[in-house]
Amino acid sequence: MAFIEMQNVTKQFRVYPRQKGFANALKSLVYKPYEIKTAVDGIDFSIAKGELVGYIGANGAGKSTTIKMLSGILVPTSGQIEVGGLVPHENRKRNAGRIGVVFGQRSQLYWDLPMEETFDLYKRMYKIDAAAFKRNVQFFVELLDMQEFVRRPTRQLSLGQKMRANLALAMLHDPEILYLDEPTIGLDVVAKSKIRKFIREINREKATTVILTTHDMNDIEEICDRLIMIDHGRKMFDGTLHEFKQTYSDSTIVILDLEEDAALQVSDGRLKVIQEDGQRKYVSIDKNIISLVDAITQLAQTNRIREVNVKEPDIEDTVRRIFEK
Amino acid sequence: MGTYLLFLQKSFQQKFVYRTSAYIYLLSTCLRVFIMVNVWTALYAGRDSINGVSLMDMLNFIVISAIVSALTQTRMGDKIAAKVVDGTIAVDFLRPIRFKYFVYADQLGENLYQVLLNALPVCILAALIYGFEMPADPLMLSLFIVCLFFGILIIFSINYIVGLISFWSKAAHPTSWFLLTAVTLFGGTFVPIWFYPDILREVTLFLPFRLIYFEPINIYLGRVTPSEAMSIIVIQLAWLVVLWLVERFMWSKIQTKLTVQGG
Repeated sequence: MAFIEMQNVTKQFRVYPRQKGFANALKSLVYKPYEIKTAVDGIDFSIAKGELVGYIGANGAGKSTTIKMLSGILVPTSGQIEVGGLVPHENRKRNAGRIGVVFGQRSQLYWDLPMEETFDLYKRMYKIDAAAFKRNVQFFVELLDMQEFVRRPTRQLSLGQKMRANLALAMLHDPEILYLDEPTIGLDVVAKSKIRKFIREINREKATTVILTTHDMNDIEEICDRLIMIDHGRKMFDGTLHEFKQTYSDSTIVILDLEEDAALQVSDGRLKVIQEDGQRKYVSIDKNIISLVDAITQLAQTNRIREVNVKEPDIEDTVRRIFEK
Repeated sequence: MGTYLLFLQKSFQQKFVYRTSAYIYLLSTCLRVFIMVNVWTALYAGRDSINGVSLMDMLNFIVISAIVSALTQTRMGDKIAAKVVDGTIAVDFLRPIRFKYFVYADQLGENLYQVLLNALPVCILAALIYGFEMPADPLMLSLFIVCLFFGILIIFSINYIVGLISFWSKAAHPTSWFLLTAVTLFGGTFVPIWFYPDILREVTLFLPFRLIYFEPINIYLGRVTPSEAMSIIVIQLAWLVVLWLVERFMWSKIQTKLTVQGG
């Protein structure tokens, strides 16, 4: 049995569509029609200890629902979930002691108190031993660069500072698993990179298993080894980042800057000119049928090239293409 | 236990942040006591007693009720509902704690703040101006404390149950307002039940509200015998068992049907 295991898990919700108008509002007091919405539809996956998994999908794809089921606060409609030998929703409290969770859109800090005070509370709540607590606080404050605001009340912190504090809080009790639900949402580049560094670092130091949902594909590229993609509650892809790119994006873009403003001369059918922009030309090649070196050699024979750039497909483009299909 | 004491302490501490609102509360409690004393003095219009209640009893009622109402106030129903509606309830459920104890500790921290920094100073001031009597009998004083403790538990349970309803309705209701009305009418917090017409007094006997506020004060003022006080406490316990069963039942349902809203 893997460390985290989901077998054919489905979660359905009742949604009550609201009708317009006062008469309908009155009617809804007595009779409320509802629809069944399937948020997660027969998902299977298993994750080993110490893995860094990116969990992606469009808004409403079922990412948060999955995280909530894994953390034991939602009960699946059907299917089995096991996390480290426990069924999360049947052992909510015990499961809670072993996981750390960060919701990008919700803070767990006391609004009017400095984060230090919330740390103390967590120390007691999770029965963290004094030495480990001190070590972790020191380590996290340093790693997340929080020295200047540990003593400031939460309400005076910026979004990025709050998010860092929440991350530290989730890791205080050395959980075996860290669930991150959009941890970089709304943050600037500097804050994002601090958070990414932190996640990689704790995974290396403490072998924490991390499951991360995000819309920022750079998060995935910089943090995750493995990627699971869902859409409309169904699993679309499960594999390494490399496999993902190979499966979904077969073309590499070669960007050429010519010496003069002339049309690009292409003799080989395997090279597709996708855009000509003055001296700059974009050529798309399929690496499965022609190697990059061959392609560039050919292009150099028929054109006077000043500069060559190669753009590997980035995952964001890839995902966008998949969802647009 | 330690964890919940810490929750209590944190919510107590949080109250210190907003000094302006603390002063406003203090002022409003002062005004309330002042108005009540003057209204009742005017109503007595020089008489020593009405329905066997002396003016001194009434003044004592007003002063002690300031403390009792600070201890028995609760907003937990509204707080739970608000958390269910916006989904923040998820954060509480992710912690390895008993949700109910957490909610109780949070409320109690607020109430202790209100007692120590709001009701008590006002009461001391009022006692100095209008006079105030402690129960002569230490037995009655201890019965009062026990009865008040159970009274707090009763109102907390009721409000907690009302809060749990939001798991089904997925909406915030004006529950505090409704409860306040019920407690004011059937609990005798504004006009003591001594002065109620017979029918209304009969009705209050079948409801738990008078056990929260009125009965403890009644014991404090020595208007019941020790054995009557004991039977009041037994009735309180019976109500607590009923409320506990209701709440357990709802909680077991919530565990299986819990849905957390929002992103």
